Amino acid sequence: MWHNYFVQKYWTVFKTSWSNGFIYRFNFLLWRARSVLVVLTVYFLWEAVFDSNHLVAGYTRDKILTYVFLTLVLRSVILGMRSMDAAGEIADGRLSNYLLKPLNYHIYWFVRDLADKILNILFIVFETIGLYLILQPPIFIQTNPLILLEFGIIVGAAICLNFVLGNIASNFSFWTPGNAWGFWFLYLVFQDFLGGVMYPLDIFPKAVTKVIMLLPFPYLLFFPANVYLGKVAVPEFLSGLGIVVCWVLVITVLLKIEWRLGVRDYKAEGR
Amino acid sequence: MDNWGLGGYNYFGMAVISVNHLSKYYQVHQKEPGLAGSIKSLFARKYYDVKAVDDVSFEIKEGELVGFIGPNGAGKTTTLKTLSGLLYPTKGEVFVLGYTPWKRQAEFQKQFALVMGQKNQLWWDLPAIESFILNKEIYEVPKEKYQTTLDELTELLGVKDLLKVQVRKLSLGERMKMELIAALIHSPKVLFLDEPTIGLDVVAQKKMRDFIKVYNQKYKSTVILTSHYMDDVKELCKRVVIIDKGKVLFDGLLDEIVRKFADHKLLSVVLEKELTAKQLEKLTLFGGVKEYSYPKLVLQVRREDSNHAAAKLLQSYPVADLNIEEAQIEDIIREVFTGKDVA
Repeated sequence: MWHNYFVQKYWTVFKTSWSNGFIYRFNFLLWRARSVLVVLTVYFLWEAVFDSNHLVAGYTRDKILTYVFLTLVLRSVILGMRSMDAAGEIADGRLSNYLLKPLNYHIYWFVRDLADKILNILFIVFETIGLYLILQPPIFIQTNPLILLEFGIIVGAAICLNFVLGNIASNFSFWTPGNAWGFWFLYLVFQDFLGGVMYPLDIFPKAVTKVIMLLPFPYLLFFPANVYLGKVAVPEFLSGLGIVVCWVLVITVLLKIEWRLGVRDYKAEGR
Repeated sequence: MDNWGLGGYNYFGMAVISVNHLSKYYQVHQKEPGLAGSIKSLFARKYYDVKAVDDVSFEIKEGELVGFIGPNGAGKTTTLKTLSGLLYPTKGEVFVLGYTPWKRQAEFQKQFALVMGQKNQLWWDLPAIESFILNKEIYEVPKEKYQTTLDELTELLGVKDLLKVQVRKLSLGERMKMELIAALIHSPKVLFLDEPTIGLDVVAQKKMRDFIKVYNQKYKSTVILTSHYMDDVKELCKRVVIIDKGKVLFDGLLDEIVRKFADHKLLSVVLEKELTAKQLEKLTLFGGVKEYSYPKLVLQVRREDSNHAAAKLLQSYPVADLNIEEAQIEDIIREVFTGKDVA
């Protein structure tokens, strides 16, 4: 049923989040401009490194450029999250406002994250089209509808995975209100080195890569990027998706336990 | 529980809030000063318990407006936070509208509100109306009900034309009114107000007070109010609970505080002539001289001696006018808190 209180509630959170975002349109535009600049910088950097078509870790110039481009986009779509603020809200007692109300704090932040992401994606689409027309880079455009479908699914799953992992980090604020960022930085380190943010993970030896692929982190960026590039066959995709779904379920349970314990210890301190 | 303070208090209606032997202890770790202390505390931490609330019991009936008074850190806010379900108690039992608050059931949350004068829930960058609409959805208030409540509240508080102004551009007084509306948009049956007038100017304080009074009477809501300002409590609350160091010192009618704790009255005198040194000295026979600046003289005398002392004073002093007054409630409460034996 559409007119359902639950839907209505979080739909309003979504709309309010957007209205709030538009207040900072200048900030937002500068933020987008920064993203475009980063893309350009990285693009020219890698183009300079690869002056010829030789291979690095099995990647051709085109493939590595595509990978770099793609991870930049995926980074802002999957890894960018507003719910990092939750750590601050728990630490300084603003959480009380939510705990008083018939509202699920995690769903609330998930919806706000989604609102943010959708706004960003809209801009990314326009920017990418623009950049593509200007630079005409030798980038691989995926046109296979099955792969695009797989890509859409895995990006959705990665967003969920990142959300639950990030919130596990934020919730440490309950116990170390001054130091919650520490856990966030730790998580960012995992993202950088095991998520494929800094480099494609298959530059490691095969055995190492195999172990890493059992962890949740490669599914944040590395795996979705490879799905897009068409390097993942359907059975591999399904097993990868299975691993992500398992991790999301396991971490959601942990998150719930952590939350229950945290709320018990919450001191609702003043600002 | 010692309920000596309740003598003669006439309860009516049902117990909406009942608190039995509530205690909330915090573990605080002790750190010695300086860097050495910081390093030491990394390895061996000494913990001790702070008893924020210590064996507190009381009951509040439907429609009551009760004032909590006590110095900073007395345990007022901790009690309100426990009643709102933000804190889990260390010991004790609490029922609000029949619910255990810290289970945070939605049916309970839809029936109460907590307003903290020093905190805000409104979206800072958006007009207040946006926060109201969000709260309407969160609390699942039907559209017509929302509209009538909003109209009534904005009318009562006189903020109709400010609804579409960004919250950050409102004055503190205006913002507090908006905070109240946001907290009341779901028509809570129980309302906890923690320092609702803090930081407001005298006029705004008065308006806030008037509103609370009307709201309590009109909607028969049950209200607990904490405040540093005795004026708030004096004007609004018949019944007060005095809390200090986590314990209830007094629970009863405001008027009773005076009878209970004030063992003296004040003789307020207007003199015809300035007193000689000798006359002044002799005044100590009546009691303490609280204030003397000609022509005004205020004497503090024992309660049972007050009539006698007044008669004596009229006989032997150049008195133009004399009044026997009860001690100021502020003074009494200050004496209670500064450790004068209250038993």
